[in-house]
Amino acid sequence: MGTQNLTGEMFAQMVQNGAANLRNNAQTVNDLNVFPIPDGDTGDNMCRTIEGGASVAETNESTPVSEVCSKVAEGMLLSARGNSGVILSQFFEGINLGMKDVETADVKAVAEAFRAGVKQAYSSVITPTEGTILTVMREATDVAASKITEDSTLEQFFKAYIKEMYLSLDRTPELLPVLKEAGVIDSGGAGFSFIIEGMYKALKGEEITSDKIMTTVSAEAVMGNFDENSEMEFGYCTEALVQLRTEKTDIEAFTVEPLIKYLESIGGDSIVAFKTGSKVKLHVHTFTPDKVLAYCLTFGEFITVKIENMSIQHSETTVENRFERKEVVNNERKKFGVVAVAGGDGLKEMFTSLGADAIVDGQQTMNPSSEDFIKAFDEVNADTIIVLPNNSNIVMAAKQAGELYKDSDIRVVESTTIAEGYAALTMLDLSSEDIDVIIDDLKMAIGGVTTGLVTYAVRDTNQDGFEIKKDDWLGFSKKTILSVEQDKIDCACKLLDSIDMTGKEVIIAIAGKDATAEELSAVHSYASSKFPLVEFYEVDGGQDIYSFIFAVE
Amino acid sequence: MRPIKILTDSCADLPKALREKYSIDYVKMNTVHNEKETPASLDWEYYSAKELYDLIRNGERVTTTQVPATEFTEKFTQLVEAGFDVLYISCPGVLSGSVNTGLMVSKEIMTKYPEARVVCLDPKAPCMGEGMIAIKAAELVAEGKNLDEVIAYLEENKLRMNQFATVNTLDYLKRAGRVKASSAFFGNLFGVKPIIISDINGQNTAIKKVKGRLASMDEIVNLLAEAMEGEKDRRVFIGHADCAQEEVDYLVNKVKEVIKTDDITVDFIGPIIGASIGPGAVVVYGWGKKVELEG
Repeated sequence: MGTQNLTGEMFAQMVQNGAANLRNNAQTVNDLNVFPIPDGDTGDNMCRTIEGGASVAETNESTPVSEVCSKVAEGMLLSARGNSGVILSQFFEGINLGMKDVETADVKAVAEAFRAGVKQAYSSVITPTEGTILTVMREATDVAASKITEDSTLEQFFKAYIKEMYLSLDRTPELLPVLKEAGVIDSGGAGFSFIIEGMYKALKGEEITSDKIMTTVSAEAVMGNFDENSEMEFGYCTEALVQLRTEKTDIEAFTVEPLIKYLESIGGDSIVAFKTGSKVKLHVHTFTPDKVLAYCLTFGEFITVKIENMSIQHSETTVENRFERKEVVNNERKKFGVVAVAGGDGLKEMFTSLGADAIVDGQQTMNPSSEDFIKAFDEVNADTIIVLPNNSNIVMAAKQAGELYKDSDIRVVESTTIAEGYAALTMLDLSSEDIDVIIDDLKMAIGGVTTGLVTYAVRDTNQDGFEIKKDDWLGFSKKTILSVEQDKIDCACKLLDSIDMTGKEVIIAIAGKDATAEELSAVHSYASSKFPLVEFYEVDGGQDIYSFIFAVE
Repeated sequence: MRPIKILTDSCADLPKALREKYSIDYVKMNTVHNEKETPASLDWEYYSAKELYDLIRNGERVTTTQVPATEFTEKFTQLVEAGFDVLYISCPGVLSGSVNTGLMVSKEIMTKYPEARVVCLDPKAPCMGEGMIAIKAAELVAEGKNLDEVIAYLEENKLRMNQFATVNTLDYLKRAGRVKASSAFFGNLFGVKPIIISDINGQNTAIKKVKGRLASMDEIVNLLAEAMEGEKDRRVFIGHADCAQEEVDYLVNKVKEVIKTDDITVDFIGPIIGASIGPGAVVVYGWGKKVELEG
């Protein structure tokens, strides 16, 4: 005996179980880091991504599976962080597309939906890399789908799926040399496996509990700073989830374009609207939320509505952002805006002083979600927004946010390190007002930067010809280890020695939380004597993980 | 017809040899340090260039004052009584009030000496640009042009004087309130060097950013070469605010190589511009295409 048909309720439980299983094993996934340094965060990223889907999957006995899939997919698209997280969210978006209009899914429908998931995941990456989460989901799906027969049960499908999934996961080091060298399997693939494993257990009636609940804390608006005499300056941030209704509209033919046009016509901005299945998710800033609600009622009914007075929100942000050059609450639409990702007070301040209009908080091990970006885009309020993700693992979430956001032209400049982002921003010049010229300048600035990083090893390993002991200091550039020392300063100096200085004129040393002023000046003295013609600048970045970030330009 | 004397001021940064060669005189502004005013001598009579720039390097604030009215009265009277008409080529009006004071005094002088003409002309270019325009005026006078012809020529051509400067930091210019810079130049632009031109009003205007010192020196030479395309007058003036000899040599060789000229004058940026632009600044000047930018 087994399950022939997947109900919405069961799928919701599976996703929740998958999320819980990954939560319990997130650290294991984090530790599957190619680099023996403490910046692994794939587990946390994927966990937050799937939890964004699991938390909205509320159901009852009769909820169609299509509806659950659509909720899950929507939640995950918004909460996606890190490259593996974005790929995961796209996988579930594919399942959602594959499950369209399905009440309960038989095993064939499930297999087809998984295939659609794989297809969607691959299409979200410009150059898919094999030996990653993509390979694991594809191979497992192919094998499991090929084995189903007329009377296969879902249990059989998942059993076959999981068997191939682990085989595929074990093969990832053969496909991706960096994994082999580091002696690890792919972390994204491993995270995916924990999710599928958890989903299978739910199917078998085994509920996984996780006490390590991680929720994104959203700050409650501070009441009381809007009173009877306050000026209504910024309108309402209005969000709604609308159930399209057959009696009111042709759900099949319904598109969000007229809705967006209407919202624009009543002066709304920061508009995000999309249809998933038979629901419409909507976000708009408006002075007349009543009109928005009335309009929505012409085609559906509300599932949830949230209306927040932004004058209150705004006062909060002003208090938090007390950087000197911040204009006193200026919410006028700008032509250009800049959003940069940074973690650590020094770095945030640095990016702000260079003209970033909004900072998305992103420590090395705490990647921002697409939703975090969307909030920043709202805050910036510009026709064109330049995004500096400053981390290769944040680029995709930034791009996904850019695709979801319809109110501005979002340009993601692929800065993969803080050093690159910093170098780019110092060369930012908007005076041409030609976005292509501006972006080219930034890209050129990034091209001229070599990034050097100093941190410590979290395990014994052999890499790039170095024998590395746990707690050794590692200096590296472009994912290649260049120096291994027992002393932090020696490591930083040897790293600078190993970086090609041809044509380089500037070293910017960004000191992390654990680097003291004395350590920074010791490196400074060394660099000045070794490279007398190179200008050396000290910055107190206050970042985690990296004691030093060098931008060599 | 009365002979014409070309007069300029402390901003023009013309070395003694050139002033003598072209018979150019100048009125002095002052530098102020610790509330003490010192005449801004282009021959560094009161302090050396090194002393001035070291003072600024050590964080001391040196400010400047415009040419005092008494200085104008004295100089104009002296020249007019010696039989000259005077053409005063001033520091740009957007940077100093000297041209207005000069104008005011010139009226008094012309009332007193109706036979004389004292004309004040804003060259819309500071520093050696102002100096090169003064030299041009002196050359026209030597060719026998009358005062009106000289003025007409300068008004027609003064915007063809091109300035390209770069500094290690814009802080000095910003503090002195003598630069126009967009928000692109805010923040700690470590290693980023602004390129500064003199716009159609004679205002220093930061127009672009270049990464690295050598790259910025290359850039000002390339920009000047572009501006001087097709220009017959191949004279290039290089000013520097106490830069290392290697940097100056680098710049001179770059000018020779790119602009293909040997007619190069190199000197310190004088006390007036120096006090506001700060140590480490380098600037190149040459005649060429008309400046069109208004910052």
